[in-house]
Amino acid sequence: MGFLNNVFKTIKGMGNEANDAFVDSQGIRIMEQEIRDAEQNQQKASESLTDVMAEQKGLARKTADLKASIDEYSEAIGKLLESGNETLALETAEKLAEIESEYDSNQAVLDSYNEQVKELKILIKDSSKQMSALQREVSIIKSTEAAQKASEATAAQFSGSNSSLRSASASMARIKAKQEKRKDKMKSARELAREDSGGDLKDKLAEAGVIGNKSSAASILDRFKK
Amino acid sequence: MMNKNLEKVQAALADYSTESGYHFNVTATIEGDFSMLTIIRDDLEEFAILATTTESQLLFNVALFDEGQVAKEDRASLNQTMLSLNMAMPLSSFALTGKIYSIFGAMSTDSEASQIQEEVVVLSENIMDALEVCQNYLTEA
Repeated sequence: MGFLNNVFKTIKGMGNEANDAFVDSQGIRIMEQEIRDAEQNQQKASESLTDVMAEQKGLARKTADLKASIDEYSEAIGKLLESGNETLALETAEKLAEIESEYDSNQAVLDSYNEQVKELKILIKDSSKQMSALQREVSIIKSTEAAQKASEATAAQFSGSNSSLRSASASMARIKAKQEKRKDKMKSARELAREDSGGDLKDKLAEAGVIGNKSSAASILDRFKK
Repeated sequence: MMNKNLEKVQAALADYSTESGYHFNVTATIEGDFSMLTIIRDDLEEFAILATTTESQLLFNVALFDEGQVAKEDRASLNQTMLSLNMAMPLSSFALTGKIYSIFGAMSTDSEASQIQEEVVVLSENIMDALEVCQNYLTEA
């Protein structure tokens, strides 16, 4: 199952009881226990793997030794038969039969060890995958819980209660009015600056035709025409 | 003790002012092992940005209004509006935690100071825009 789905199950009170804790702390404890279990499983599997691999190594060495003996005795039997020493050849063949049956049983055990090592390695990989998945879930749930605590803190900050916030419409209106005011203030500050430099009066006089615009081309030509 | 990640946020916002000349006032709250920053932009004191953290992420959350301010029959339509607009809202997303509607931004704890500043500025710019979108659903108070 995907982590988000698990998170969803752990998160309660999607708009239900006001007093319900948003995040189920029992759920988090269960998940943390699961993480510890997975850790323990992994630990155990690692220990078993070490043991099995040690056995596997010893047995592999022994099996190789037996194989060497089989080759050696087989060669000897061939040579003894060639030289006509039937009695010794038979004795050697009996020994070879013994060694071959030991080799077969050892090989069977070795095969099962190889199988076990493969399985243990898969188990270790799986439990570490499971562990990181669980850790991710717990971390996400905790951050959701932190966000919830933060939301509750805001609510408490503004209304003194856990379940409701101050009216957003009213706040919006207040902020807009404040921002308008700030804009107006900046505008009048600019106007004031213009007035201080006499810009406003000059504009009015120019408009009334009382003073001309000194820098205009027309006024310069007028001067020459006079 | 103040959380290291939140200390970084606090440092990034101290002495910082936006292009339009706004400042952020940051106060820390510590309760046991829970710590949080309350970040307030000069002109938006009604809508505090609350910063919290886990090992892997920083969360910036602004509570907008609670369910009670939306008429029951309008809630489904409001939720749909928010979901449809989530992708269009720069750096922030809508959320519903318990009964509280909010916008939030999440970022890696590895983020640089300049990225944290950008996140908080954009989130604060989104507050009034988000409220405007929701305004028609809100009951007057």
